[in-house]
Amino acid sequence: MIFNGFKRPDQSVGVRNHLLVLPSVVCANDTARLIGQQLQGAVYVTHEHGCGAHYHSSSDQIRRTMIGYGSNPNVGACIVVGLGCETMDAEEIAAGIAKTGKPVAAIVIQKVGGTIKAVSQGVQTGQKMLAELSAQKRQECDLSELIFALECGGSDSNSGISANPALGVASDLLIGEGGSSILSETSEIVGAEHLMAKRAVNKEVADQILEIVHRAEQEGVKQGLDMSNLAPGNREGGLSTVEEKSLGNIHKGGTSPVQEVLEYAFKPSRKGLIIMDTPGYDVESITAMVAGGAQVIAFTTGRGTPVGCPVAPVIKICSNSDTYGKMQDNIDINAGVIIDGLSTVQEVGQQIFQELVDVSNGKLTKAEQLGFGDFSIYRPLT
Amino acid sequence: MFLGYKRPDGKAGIRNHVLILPVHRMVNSVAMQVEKMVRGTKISITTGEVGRSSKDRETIARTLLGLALNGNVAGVLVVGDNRYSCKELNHEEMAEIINSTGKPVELLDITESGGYYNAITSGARKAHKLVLEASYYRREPCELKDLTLGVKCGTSDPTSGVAGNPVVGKAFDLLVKAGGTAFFSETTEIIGAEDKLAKRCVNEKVQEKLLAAVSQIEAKAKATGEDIRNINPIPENIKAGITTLEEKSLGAITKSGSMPIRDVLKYGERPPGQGLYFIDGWMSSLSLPLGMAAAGANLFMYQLGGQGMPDLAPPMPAYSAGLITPMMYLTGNPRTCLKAEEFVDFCSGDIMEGKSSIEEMAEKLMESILKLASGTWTKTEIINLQDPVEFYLQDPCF
Amino acid sequence: MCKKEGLVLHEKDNVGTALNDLTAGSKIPVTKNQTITLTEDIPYGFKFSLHDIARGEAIIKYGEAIGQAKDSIKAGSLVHIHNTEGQRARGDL
Repeated sequence: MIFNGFKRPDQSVGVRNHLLVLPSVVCANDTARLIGQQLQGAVYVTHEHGCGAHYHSSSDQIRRTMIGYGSNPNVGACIVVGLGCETMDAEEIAAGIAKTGKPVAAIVIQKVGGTIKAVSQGVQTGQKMLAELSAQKRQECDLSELIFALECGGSDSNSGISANPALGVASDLLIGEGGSSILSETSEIVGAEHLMAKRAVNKEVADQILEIVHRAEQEGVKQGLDMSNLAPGNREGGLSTVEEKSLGNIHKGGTSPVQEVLEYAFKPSRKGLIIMDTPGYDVESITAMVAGGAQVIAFTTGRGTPVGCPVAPVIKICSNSDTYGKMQDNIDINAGVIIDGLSTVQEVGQQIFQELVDVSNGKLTKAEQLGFGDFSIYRPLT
Repeated sequence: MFLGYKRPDGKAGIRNHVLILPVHRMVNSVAMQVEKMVRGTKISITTGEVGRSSKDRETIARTLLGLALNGNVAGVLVVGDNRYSCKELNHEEMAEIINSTGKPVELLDITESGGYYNAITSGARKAHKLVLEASYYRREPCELKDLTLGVKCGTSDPTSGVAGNPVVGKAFDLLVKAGGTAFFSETTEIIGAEDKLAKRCVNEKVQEKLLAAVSQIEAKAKATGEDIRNINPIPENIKAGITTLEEKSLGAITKSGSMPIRDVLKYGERPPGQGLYFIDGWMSSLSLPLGMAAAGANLFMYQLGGQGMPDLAPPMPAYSAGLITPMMYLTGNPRTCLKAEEFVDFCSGDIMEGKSSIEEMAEKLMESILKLASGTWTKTEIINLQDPVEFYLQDPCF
Repeated sequence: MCKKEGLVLHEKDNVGTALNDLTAGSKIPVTKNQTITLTEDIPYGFKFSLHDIARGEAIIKYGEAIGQAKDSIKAGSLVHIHNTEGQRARGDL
């Protein structure tokens, strides 16, 4: 199936054409913001990472996420803003992103000589990049190039009955077209891992699924956490245990076989359904999947949420009509019609798939209209 | 051919904006909050309608409606309040007219929405809806006849009349011959060259309108009791070597090309059809681009001299058409081009260097225009160069 | 075409336009048969007289009058506001 997207030098395909202004370190946040705000068509993010004193594994993860994020096909060009003395060297991150062949620049505040000069240089560089980006046209691309990130947040007891299974249908449809989906949030597979392992393409993948779930569970126990893992809103929404939440959650992945298990923010090497090991926190999980190359995010919710992503459209799917009625400003699709008996899982699944195609062609999601762009990198404790 | 957006009324757009249009100055603040909350929207605030003559209020109304109907606009949120409505500026009527063209329009009345906060909420929702609809538009092949260009010259110097304006004039000829539409204006700056233009008017009626516009503005200039040379040419022109208003005018009119002048339009008035039009307007870089956008210009061309300009300065930082009509900077001065490379989209300075002809440059200019019309951003558009709007009001206020 | 030093826009013109920063004493070819020796520096874009112009005589550029000479102007001199006056839209006259 065909859609119109942006073809990148590394053969990947974007559904948006953003200039991303990315600080490599917390100290460059405001400089990045000032650059981003002056340029039409630019997005910027801020975060708390990058300085020093990270565990080694943590540094690797942050660096990989930043490079992956800048390499996402929805990013047409990238400006990395660094301070100069940080662990996350802006030039190294820029070089990592530059491997995709897209225009990348690093601006290092200490080298340039202060933030005002850095802002000025950033705006001038960005202006040239945007002139180039704006000249690019959407071209016919195959849907098999798409990676669909499957996310949920603010779940309730309806999620597992309406929104998640409908998303599973859409995910299976995309995979049927040769595309990929990423299922994430390992802590929300706890209690359902045996079902996912059964769907693994081979024993190695099955073992990996069991391994990451076991690891997440152990980690929680070690930290003295109550692994019932439910946010207060989940409980108020009628979910009783983590197992119940997980069994509903995994419906997002439909019925396709699991091809691969990835660590946080790695790029898939196979097509089809992928599991990525991410924490049970939606923004950190989305950030990882986008760093892995996902171009569109599907986000099921029961309680309603405004979360957006700076470089990828987020399609919000609501599990019940009551919340949809209240939070239409933030939600794109109402799967509550399934509960109301007005539609079937199959029909809403088709609707989500069509929305994925429309959004890939340029239709804006609610979070995009509001200009929302949340960003957060998960930092392992060890 | 270019890739543009086809609107329900048959017009073409080269951009796809949602316009937020407060029609009374008292509703600007609500409209500004809505604009901040919804990505992809642009706002044109209204100023100065209070204590004005009916003629000036009509000018404001004509300009606002013209902006709304510009092909670059995909949808419009009209913001008003019955308390402030007057016969010339009525938000409900304006929304009805826009609606009759098939363009998506939403109406926000502040009192009817239930006050400030409710109006912002309701306005943001309406704007969301319009942005969503706009995002369904795709660029399609359009013909030159669908394109409307406006031009103004500024910081004029002696290259303007030799290598800058004549290139624009030739490009206008190409556009008009292909059935497109072109605007030029600046009534003060045809003084001394009006006879040449009068000969090109399509009939006597248009000729009379043109000469009347010139004699009115000349009479106004004389009524000041001042030497026009303290007013126009402006000091920058004189520093660059332009000596008199007549010299400036003779250089300026070359930007109109050689096609017949179909009509003389009021500021902000939409033309009755395609072709070349003279707009009776004022040279201000804030008011003129706005008036041309209201008349339907898709792209506004700012032909620069720039001889006296300091290095790296934006050639003309006070500028307003970026609202919905992108501005293209062009110059025939190779020195300006070097000094302001970050702002100038097209340079015909090769003519001054003896390396190219006006005809060759005009062909290149058309190519460059069609790229911008197909979606490439102008250099000033990217950095959001945008001053507050300024309507061209001619009567005193009380 | 080659790089010229001065440009005459119309055959009726009595002024030329400098295409470079020209210095006093330079001989500037302006037409096939005519060369002007400049009596003073002429900056880029400014005008110089092609022959002697009498006080009150019209200054012609683009083939049209752009004003009048305030004083007599020798050939090869700078023609600008110090020796030329516009005639239109003058509220002070």
